Amino acid sequence: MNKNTLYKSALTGILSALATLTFMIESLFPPIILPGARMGLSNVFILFCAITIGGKYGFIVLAIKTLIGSLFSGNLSAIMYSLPAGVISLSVELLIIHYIKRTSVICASVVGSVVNVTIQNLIFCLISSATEYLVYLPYLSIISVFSGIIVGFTVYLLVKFVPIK
Amino acid sequence: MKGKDFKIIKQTKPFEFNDIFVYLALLLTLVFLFLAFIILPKKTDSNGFSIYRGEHLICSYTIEKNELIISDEFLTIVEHKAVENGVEITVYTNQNKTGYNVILINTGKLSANVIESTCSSSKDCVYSPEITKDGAIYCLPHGLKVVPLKSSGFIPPVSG
Repeated sequence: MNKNTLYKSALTGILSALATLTFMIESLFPPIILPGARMGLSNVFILFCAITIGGKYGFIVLAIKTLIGSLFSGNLSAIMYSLPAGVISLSVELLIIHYIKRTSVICASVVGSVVNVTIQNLIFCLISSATEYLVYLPYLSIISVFSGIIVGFTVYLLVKFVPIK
Repeated sequence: MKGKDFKIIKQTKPFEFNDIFVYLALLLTLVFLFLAFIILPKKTDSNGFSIYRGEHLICSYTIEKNELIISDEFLTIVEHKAVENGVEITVYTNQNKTGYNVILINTGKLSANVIESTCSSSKDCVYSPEITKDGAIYCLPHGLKVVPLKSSGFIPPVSG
């Protein structure tokens, strides 16, 4: 294993631990509107990892955060709608950052946040075959825009000021 | 196609030119969502609420007639009492009354919400917002569902 991979693996481990920790602390807050929808602050570390080290390490951090975070916070069913939503939203964010010219990190984060919440809601409605929850979709999207702006701005500051070799 | 180099991303400002188009697309999606789910669907006033366990109807309450109809098989696990702003219905999980949910139906505001529950540490049902004419409150650990009466689920806007 050369030095570069070792460095990336170590950084991935640290960011996974931080993401899992934020996820578990967030799950202690009471849910807004939809059970299971949280503020999504752990996306800061996932996006930061994906931008600095590489896309596939971002997916690794996402998988670790979802699996271990749900396991330890005692909410195993959260994996069912958190994991697909996280994968799709991270892919969309990376597509926007890398393949659309002249877009900022904040924009990608906002779109990723809305996609994340929408897919979580859709999967929840599908699994419990309860179409009534679709009514909350617009309100959740608006709230997720604000959380996306906060996450995006944090990642922008981290990318700008944290020295990465 | 190789993606952008990290150094290029480091140079981006918080607001770049093409952001406007992405935000515009997002705004259009949000407007569409609002139209489809909130403004256009048929509005029916709620005249009561039904409480289900899974697919079985436990009881239903009609506000104007102020009557609570309880299904026969659930007679022993439902209690109700009148309070100053409505009706409080307590639904136990089994005969031994080990767990319960307390649902308050507010006759002034025509709304229902779960005010007390023994389900789990996160108590999702208690923190769910109250329902008036659409929406639902679920207590997944207890299999409980509170929906407005006369609702056959979500009614999408008629498109022609």
